[in-house]
Amino acid sequence: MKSRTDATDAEIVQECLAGDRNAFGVLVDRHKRVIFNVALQMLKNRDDAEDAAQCVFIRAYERLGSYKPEYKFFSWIYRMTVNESLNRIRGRRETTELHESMLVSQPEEATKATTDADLEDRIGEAMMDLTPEDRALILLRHYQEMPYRDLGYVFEIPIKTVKSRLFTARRRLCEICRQRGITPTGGLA
Amino acid sequence: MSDANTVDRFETLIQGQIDGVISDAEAQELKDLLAADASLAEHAEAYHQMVGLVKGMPLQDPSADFTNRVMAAIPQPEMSAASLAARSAGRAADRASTARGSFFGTRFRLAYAFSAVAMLAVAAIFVFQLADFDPQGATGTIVSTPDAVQEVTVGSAELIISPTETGRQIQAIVPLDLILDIEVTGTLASEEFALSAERPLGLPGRDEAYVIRLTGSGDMMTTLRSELGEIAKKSIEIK
Repeated sequence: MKSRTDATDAEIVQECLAGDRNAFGVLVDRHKRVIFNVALQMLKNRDDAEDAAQCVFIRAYERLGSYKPEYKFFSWIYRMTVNESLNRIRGRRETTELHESMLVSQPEEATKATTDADLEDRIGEAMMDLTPEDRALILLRHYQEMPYRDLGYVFEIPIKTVKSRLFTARRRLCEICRQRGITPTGGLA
Repeated sequence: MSDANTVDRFETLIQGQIDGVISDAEAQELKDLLAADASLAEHAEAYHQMVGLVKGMPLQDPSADFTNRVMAAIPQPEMSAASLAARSAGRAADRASTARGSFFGTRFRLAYAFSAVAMLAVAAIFVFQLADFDPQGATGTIVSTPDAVQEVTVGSAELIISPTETGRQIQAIVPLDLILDIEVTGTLASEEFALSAERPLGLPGRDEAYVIRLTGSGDMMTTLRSELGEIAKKSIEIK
């Protein structure tokens, strides 16, 4: 018999809908890291990101009955994450300036690690200069390897727009890297 | 810089290259594209490097108790729409045998199952039963709280049902912070009917449209829709 951890998202959703509330915990465990990091990339604040991610999962559970498996489950909750994060960003006052201590902090040991790890940290910091949507777009595309079609669903834009936005976002990120002097071997800068 | 179509094609080709699914012909097309446009070639180089860096970017972990907190906050099984529907079905048969007569005036029973969620996700269930329904004011008491959590923070609620329905659905605006599901069963002119409403968005605190589903015969539905228009707006005190 297939164990729950081996079950697909769609199968677990069915278990939840059949009344097995605990099955939802598997979905949370499975997706919480990326959901949290997408929210973190967009909100720049760990507490806000954690709160947003929690809201997303709670809402997803409450809406499971309306979930239509035309798209993958994770696309569905990533869409909620992007919307939730954007709503929170819009709710913030424009004049609010994030205190240094509120900014996303990278693990201290990472900054002391190898050159590659340092570059990875620095590109993470560079991404913070992108718009929230572009950060999420790049993260979902290049970290999560989400297909264009699913990205279109998440961001509610046509596939062609997904491509052009990615193109623009990456070009912007390259420019930011140049300004920050981020020069990996072969050089982004 | 390249036009939108070129960018679109470039994006497709280079992504195919990264994913290892590009054909020989497409590889040649990409090569030609990069040779013809220096900015694209530069972008392609940066693309590969950036993808590597982004993929290697350390992700942070949420709190260790994240899953537990989510699971503690989601509604209990007894609050699920399915279980509420099951309970309602059980009540409906009994109710149908006792509630007779016209929609107004004679004995008529409505049962509202309210699933309530407080902002901090404290949940409660109230089965709200109204006997001798009075269109001028619906006031009742909580007659069954099998799984109720102790905390009641709502003092009043408002149910607005718009008569602008189409077919067998009525759009109802129910600006209740705390209600998740509504079920109404009863009879009208000796015919059974049932209403159920599901909140499409789960977060409390939002005014959202409910879709109320009606089941019953065609004639009864016509009458019911008309009567619901009369109900239109009604305050319900939750004691």
